[in-house]
Amino acid sequence: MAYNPKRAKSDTIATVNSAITILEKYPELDTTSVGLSANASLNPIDFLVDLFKSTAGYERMVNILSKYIAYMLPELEITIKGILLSNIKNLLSCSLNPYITEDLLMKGIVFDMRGLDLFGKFNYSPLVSAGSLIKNAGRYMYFGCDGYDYAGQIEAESKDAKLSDFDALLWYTKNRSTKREVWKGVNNGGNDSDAIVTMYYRESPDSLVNAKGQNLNGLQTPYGTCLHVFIGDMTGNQEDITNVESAIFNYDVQITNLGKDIEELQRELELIDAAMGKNDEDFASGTISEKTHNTTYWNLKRKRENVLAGIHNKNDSLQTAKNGKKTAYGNLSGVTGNYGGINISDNKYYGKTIAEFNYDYVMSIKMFDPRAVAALLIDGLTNCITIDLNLSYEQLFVKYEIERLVNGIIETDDAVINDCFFSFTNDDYDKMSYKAEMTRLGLYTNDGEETTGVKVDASSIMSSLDAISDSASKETIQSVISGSLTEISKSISDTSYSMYDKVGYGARISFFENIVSQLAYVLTSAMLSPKLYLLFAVNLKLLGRDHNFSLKDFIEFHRQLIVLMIRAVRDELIKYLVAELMKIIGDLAKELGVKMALEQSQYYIRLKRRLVECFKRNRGIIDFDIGNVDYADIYEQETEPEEEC
Amino acid sequence: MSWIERISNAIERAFDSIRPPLASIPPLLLVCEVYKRPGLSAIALASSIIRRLPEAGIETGVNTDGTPNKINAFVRIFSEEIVREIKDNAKVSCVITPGSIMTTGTGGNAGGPVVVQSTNTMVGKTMGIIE
Repeated sequence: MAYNPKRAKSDTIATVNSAITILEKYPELDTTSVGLSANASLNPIDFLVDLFKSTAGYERMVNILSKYIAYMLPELEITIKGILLSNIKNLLSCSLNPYITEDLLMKGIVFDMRGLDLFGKFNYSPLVSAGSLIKNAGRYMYFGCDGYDYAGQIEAESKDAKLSDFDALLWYTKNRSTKREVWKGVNNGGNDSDAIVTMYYRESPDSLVNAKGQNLNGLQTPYGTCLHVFIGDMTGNQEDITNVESAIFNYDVQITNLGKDIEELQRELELIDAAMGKNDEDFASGTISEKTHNTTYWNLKRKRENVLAGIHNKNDSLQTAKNGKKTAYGNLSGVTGNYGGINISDNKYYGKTIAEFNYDYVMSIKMFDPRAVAALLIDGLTNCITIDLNLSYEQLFVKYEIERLVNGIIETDDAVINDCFFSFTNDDYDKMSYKAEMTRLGLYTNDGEETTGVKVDASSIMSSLDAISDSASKETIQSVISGSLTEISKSISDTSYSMYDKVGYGARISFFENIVSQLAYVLTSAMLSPKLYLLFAVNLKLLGRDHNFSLKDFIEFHRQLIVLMIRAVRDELIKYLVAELMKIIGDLAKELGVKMALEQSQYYIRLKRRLVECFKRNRGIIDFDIGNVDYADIYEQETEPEEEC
Repeated sequence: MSWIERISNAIERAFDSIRPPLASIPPLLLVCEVYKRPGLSAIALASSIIRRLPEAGIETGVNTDGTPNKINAFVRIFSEEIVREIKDNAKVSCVITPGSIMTTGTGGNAGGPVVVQSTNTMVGKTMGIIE
């Protein structure tokens, strides 16, 4: 019989439901029907969610998903890295020189910095910043540098091969660095010779130099801001700027604190002025005597002078701090490097192949981090920390396309994917703008179209993720993520509709369905972060393709690879969910087996009782005596009895 | 194979695996049982079902507006029709496996007494109805 997905789904759900009914093991939630997916849809995730709905409760579903984020990301990362390596290898054709040339080592590759950041990640700083959640949004996007107060810490950690997020170093290189930075990966050794790439940032291509610090001639460069990347270590002799960075940070702290003090004093001054005005009014209306008025006036005047002096002093200190910061910045820009002594043949990748570089690069980067994935997942569900208004039209376009690509792959059960990409209508753009606007107003929209009127307290939810430190155990990570997701779901289900107790469950389940799809999107976005995009860009350059291609070109050129990676994410996620589901189903089946065996035994017991009764009725005798046969025909061969009718 | 197919198959297999083939009931037990059975009854079936409806939260009394309980009527009709269909139209086919029938016969001839022992060597078939 031909495979019929509708029938397969409906049969399976019915089988599970019948077992649940027989065992009276309904999940601990309202038994409201929220519409099962027993239709012709080919979305395996929806099907799985339906099976979870029937067998587990909401809390268990969230726990299962949190467990995935806490435990399974390393496994997924290995899978993705395998796909990456094999596919990048396939790009390198036989006609290509497999070795990294001396010329490439010397000149490096220059990228348009704007093109590297597909999703506007570098708009957010990984550093701790005083202020709102949105100002601190970057803390949840990068990892391995949580709690860093000043940028120099990123550089120092990277130099010691302790920084786990390459994107954080790229951010530092773009926004703070004035010299060449090296990426070595984590625990890849502490020597500069272990560097995989060296890079520096320039606002314009005018001041670009080759590895030895000489002018670059004949190298095609972009017109805007540039990231110049060298393969291997090309740092030469550079000054350590940690102290300068630290000084700038201290001045920043001073400036912030002094600003707050001055604001406080100004408020006090306003109160004193108001009190003086009231004192005059009371005297004019005859409420207080002249003596009282004068005493109060002189007291307030003294206070006012003290406050004014305080403001003056603080302003002086503020100016000093600002000057100090300016000087420190001057010191920073004065930091130079001596690259003349660099010897290309000492480079780790001298005489090595591109494949060897790709392997080192891929293995050095960490793609997924539980805290960052959880934060992006929560952000994706509630849009509480990132506001897409900062993204350019092109970036929004790419984001939308990736989102559609992910949905297209998730919603299909096999390799059939909608090939109709890059159709980006004004309606789509309006929809995204509306969603961003609603988010900015603090209103959560579940589907980007309908405002539910549910306010999600983003700060408290995101700050709960702070409990996930670099040293946190997997159990802690799972428990924190699960708690945060449950908290959001409570906010969503706690609406004015709560008087109808069934709505809460429906909203929660719909939220769970969103979580699973959103998780796939978040994992895909994490894969397409600048660090990975840089690898693609380097390889495209080696292939001789223009490295300053547009984002659209990138998706078109690497679509097959992106699709493979998204499919790997989907398959890993489904594999995990199926394994978890089968644990639940296995327990159900075991219990059902016991119940059926018991049913059979009870039947046998009933039969045996009848046998005993039979004996009792016949006084302990049953007549099985053989009767006398006086005559019998003996046939030569036994034949099968024929049907009589 | 698609994911939906794989998941469906895995779940079906999990439930199938818990149900091994049923062991045959020993003939002695059957003999005792068969004489005592009262036979299929639509009335008994309907009564048993209606008696258990409250377990599923289904009201068995008269409806609150005084009208007759249609669920009870449905159960009675359903039971009657099922039992009637089985009694009137069902047919039982039984298989007699080789070696399952053993007979012993005694007689005699000029040479003296003869004892014959035999067994069926082929698959046999017999029929019946459900009562």
